[in-house]
Amino acid sequence: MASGKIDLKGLIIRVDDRLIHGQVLHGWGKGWPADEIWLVSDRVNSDEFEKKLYEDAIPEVYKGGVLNVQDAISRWSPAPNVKANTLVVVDSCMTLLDLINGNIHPNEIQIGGIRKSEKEIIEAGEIKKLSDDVQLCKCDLEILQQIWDKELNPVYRPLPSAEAQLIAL
Amino acid sequence: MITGGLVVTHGDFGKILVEETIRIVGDNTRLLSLATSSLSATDITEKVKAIIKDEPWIIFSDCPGTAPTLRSYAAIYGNQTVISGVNLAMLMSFVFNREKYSYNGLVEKMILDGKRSMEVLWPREK
Repeated sequence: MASGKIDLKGLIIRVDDRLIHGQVLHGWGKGWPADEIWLVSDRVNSDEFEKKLYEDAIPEVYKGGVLNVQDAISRWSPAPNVKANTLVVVDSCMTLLDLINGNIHPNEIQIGGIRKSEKEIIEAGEIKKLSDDVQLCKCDLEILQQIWDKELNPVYRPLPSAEAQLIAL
Repeated sequence: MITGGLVVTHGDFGKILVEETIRIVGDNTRLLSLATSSLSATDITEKVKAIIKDEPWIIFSDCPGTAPTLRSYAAIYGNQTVISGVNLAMLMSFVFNREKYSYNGLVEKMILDGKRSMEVLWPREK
């Protein structure tokens, strides 16, 4: 069984449209291990019920909560030396790009989960499927291209025990 | 209207639980499963809402703090509840008791039966 230990410290930003869920809390929270777990989503932050749902879901052992994009940029930009192991989950590639454009420089950018409904797959026409949990449409790839242009390299790493796979066009 | 049961889980765990419950007790009325694999947070909630509408349902999820539980919770109103930690005994209790108890009484009874089903059998001394 993999030990789940990786030589990675500081700030991780993970795109995961399942938001705070088992893989984040149990896989990364314990397997990394994280000191802080945050969810950055303008949509969730503006919905009182959803915000409380995810604030309650983050165990008290972690510092964390729900932030909107602007507050996240204020918190982690301009690229402070983040000493605590901090996992920031964002809801979409667009939110990731907003944080990067806000001058946040994480130690790792992960594509953890981008799932498409059957309708979205039909509408998208072409999907780049990395796994059952990561399906990239043209608009996702265009956003990721802007991140690659900044010489940042998002990886696919579902769990700490997995090797990071570079995502290529 | 008879209370429905929707088992929302990671992967096919719920599908198998429902199949085995029906195989054991024979009642498949309003007893369904939903696998959350490959579904976003929003899609899970929308799929749950589409099934339960505004009718009396109990949603069974596998693990607290995970997407099946959190996203089902985001879908419920009124006579609808999410119970995490589903097991076969809990589901059988649901089928056996859903016409005997009030909605809240049924919830309490199933939780009791689900917890009671957890026991440790230590080996005999040689």
